Amino acid sequence: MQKTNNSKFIFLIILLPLFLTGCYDRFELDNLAYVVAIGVDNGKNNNVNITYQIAVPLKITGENSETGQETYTVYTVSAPSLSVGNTIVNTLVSKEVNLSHVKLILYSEEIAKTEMSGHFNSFMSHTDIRPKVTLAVCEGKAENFLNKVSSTLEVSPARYYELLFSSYNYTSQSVGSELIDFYTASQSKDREPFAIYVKLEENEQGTTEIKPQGIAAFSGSSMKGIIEPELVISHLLLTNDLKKSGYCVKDFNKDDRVISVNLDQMKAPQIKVSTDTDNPKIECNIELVAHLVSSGSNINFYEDDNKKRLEEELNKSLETRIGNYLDKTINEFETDIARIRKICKTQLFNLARF
Amino acid sequence: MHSTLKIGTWEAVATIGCISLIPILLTLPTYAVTDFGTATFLHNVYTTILTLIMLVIILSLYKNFSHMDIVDIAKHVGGKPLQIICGIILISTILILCILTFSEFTQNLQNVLFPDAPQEYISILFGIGILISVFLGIRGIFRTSSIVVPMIAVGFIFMFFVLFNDTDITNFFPVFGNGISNFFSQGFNRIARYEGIFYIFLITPYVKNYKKVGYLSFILSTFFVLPIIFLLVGNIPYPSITENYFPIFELTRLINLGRFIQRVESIFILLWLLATFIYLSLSVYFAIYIFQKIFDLQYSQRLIPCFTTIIMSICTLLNSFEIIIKIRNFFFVHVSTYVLYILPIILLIVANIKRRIECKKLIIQNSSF
Repeated sequence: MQKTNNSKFIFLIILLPLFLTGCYDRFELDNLAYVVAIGVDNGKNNNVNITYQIAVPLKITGENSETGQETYTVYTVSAPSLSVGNTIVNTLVSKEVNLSHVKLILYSEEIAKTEMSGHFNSFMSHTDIRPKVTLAVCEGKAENFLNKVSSTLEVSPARYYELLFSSYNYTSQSVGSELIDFYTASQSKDREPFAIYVKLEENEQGTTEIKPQGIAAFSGSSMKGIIEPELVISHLLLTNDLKKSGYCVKDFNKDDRVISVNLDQMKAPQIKVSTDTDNPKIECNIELVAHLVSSGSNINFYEDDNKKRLEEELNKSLETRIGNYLDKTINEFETDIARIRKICKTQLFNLARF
Repeated sequence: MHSTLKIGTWEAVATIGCISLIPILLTLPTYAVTDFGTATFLHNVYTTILTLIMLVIILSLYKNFSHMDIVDIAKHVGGKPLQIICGIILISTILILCILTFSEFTQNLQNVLFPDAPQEYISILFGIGILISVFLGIRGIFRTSSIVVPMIAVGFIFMFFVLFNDTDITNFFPVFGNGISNFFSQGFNRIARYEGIFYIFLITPYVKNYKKVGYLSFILSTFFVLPIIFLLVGNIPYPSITENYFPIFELTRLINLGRFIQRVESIFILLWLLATFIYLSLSVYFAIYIFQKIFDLQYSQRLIPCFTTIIMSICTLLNSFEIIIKIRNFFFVHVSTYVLYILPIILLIVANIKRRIECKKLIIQNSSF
C-alpha cells in the first residue's frame, strides 16, 4: 500500500513541470532576424554607429535564391553600446534580432585607431556571439562596407564570410583573426592583438567583393598600422600558422622570369630570445619544405648546384621579408603581434620578473 | 542505509569521480588562476600529489575500521557526544557545499540557457529531482552515476582532443606564476578540490574493497581535474581567464571541428546537469543519513522533504552571484579541507591509538590469567 502511494506521489511530481511550463516566450525560427555581420563606426556624442547586416532567408533558399546584395538587409543605429544598439534595432526590424549567427565583426580603421577595449568587451559578454567569430578592420566606414559587399560565388552571406575568412588555411595573403584571440591578447602583457585588414574591390562583373589587404597591427586595444599583404607570410611563418602557400623568387638565369614553389611549414619555428644585453637578440629557425612547381628558364634542377642556389635564393628572400616584418612591427609600430615576448617569459620563474 | 546494502566498486568509483568533477565545473578554477596565475596547472599537479599522500594515509589508517563509517568512528573515539558534534559539523559542511553548488549552478544555468526563466523555477525543478532520487534510495543514485560518468568521460576525451591543438604551451610560463612562496604555501588548503574522496569515509562499510575504491576513484578524479585545468590555462591565457565565472562552459564554446561540429556546449551542459544532480542528491542523502545516525532515528524518509525544502529556500534567498562565489571560495580555501580531510584523519588516528591501547590492555589481562 505504502509502495503504491509513493509511486502515485512520484508520478504527480513528474507531471508537475509539464503544467508549470508555458509557451508565451517561445522562440520560433521564423520570428527571428539573423544578424550575419556587425559593423562599428565612430558616432557623435560618444556614441558608436552600429551596423547590423541581417540575412534575408527568402532570398537565400529555394528557387528564388539570389546572390549579392539581395540576400541581406542593413540597419544602422547610433548607440552608446551593443546592448542599447540591439534594443534600438529591435524597434526597427519586424522580427527579434538574434546574434547567434554573426560571422563577422567589422571595425572601421578610424575607430580601430582609438581605444577599442570597451566595444569588444560587450561582444565577449554576449553569450549569443561565438568566441571564434572573425574580427576585421576595414578601409573606410564599416557601414558603407556592409552596405556594398556582395559575393558572386556564394548565396548565403554567412557562408561567404565563413569561407572567405578561413582562406588563411590555404593562402599566405590572409590571417585568421578571432574575437577570443583578439580579446585575450589585448588583456595580456605577453602578446599584442591583430586583425585581418580588408577593403572592398569591384570586379569585372560589377560586384563588390572583400579583398584581404594585410594585417591591422594593434598595441593594447588601439591600431598602430597595417602590415602589407606581401609581409603576411612572415607573420604566418613566425606564428606557425602557414599551412601551405605558393611562393616565387627571381629566376637566377633570367631576371624577368620567376621560379615558383609551394611552401609547407612542417615544424613550428624555433625562436630564441637572448636578453643578456640591453637590446634583446631574436633568433628564428624556420624549417620549410619547398616543392618546385615551375621555372621560367630551362634550369636543370637535377644538378645539386642549382638546387643549392634555389635554396639560397629562397632563404635570402624569406629572410629579407621576415626582417622587414619584424622591423616594421617592433621598431615602427612598437608592437609584438608575432608574439615574441611570450617566448621570453618561458625563461622566467615568476610573473613579477616578467 | 541498510546494513545489507552493498555498493559495487565501479558504482562507488563513478560516484566519487562525479563528486570531484563538480568543484571544477564551477568557479574554483577561476579563483585558482587568480591566485596562482600561469602556475595553476603545475599547482594542481602539486595538489594532486598532496591529495594522493593524504589518501594513502587515510586508507592505511582505515585498515582496522573498514566496517565503520566516519560517524561510527567518532562514536568509537569519544562516545555519543563526540558523534553528535562531529555529525553536526559534517552535516553543516555537506549542506553548505550543497547549497553553494546548487545556487551557483542554477545561476549559471539561468545566465547561459534560461535568461528569461526565474531562478526559483529552475531551483524547483532541481529540487523535485533531488526529492525523487533521494526518496528512491541510494542505490539508484549510485547506479545512475555508473551510467552517467562514462558519458562524461567520453565528452572529456572528445573535448581534450579537439582543444589540444589550440593549447599554447607558453601560457604555462612563468612556471611559478605569482611567486614560489605563494605556490608552496597555498597547496595544502586546496586539496578539497578532490571533494569526492571524503565520501569514502561514508561508504566504506558498504563496499567490497575500500582500498580499490579509494585509489580508482582518485585516478578517475585526477582524470577529470587535471585535463580541465590544462585545457583551461592552455586555451584562455592569463589574465583573461580570471574574468570567466563558468570557465568550462567558455572552454566548450571554443570547440569547433570544421563546419560540421559546432555549438556542442548544449550537450556538455546536459552532462554537467546530470553530474550536478547526482552530487546534490548524494549530498542530501548523506546529510540525512548522518542526521539519522547521530540522533538514532528509525525512519528517515520524512526528513527528505524537510532537508530539500530548507536547501531550496536558502538557494532562492542567495540571489547575488557575487556573494555566492565569494562564500564558496572562502569556504573552499578555509573550511573544506579541514572538515573533509583533517577532522576524519584526526578521528582515525585517535581511533587507532585507542584500539592499540585496548589491545595492549587485553594482552595484559590475558597474560595475567
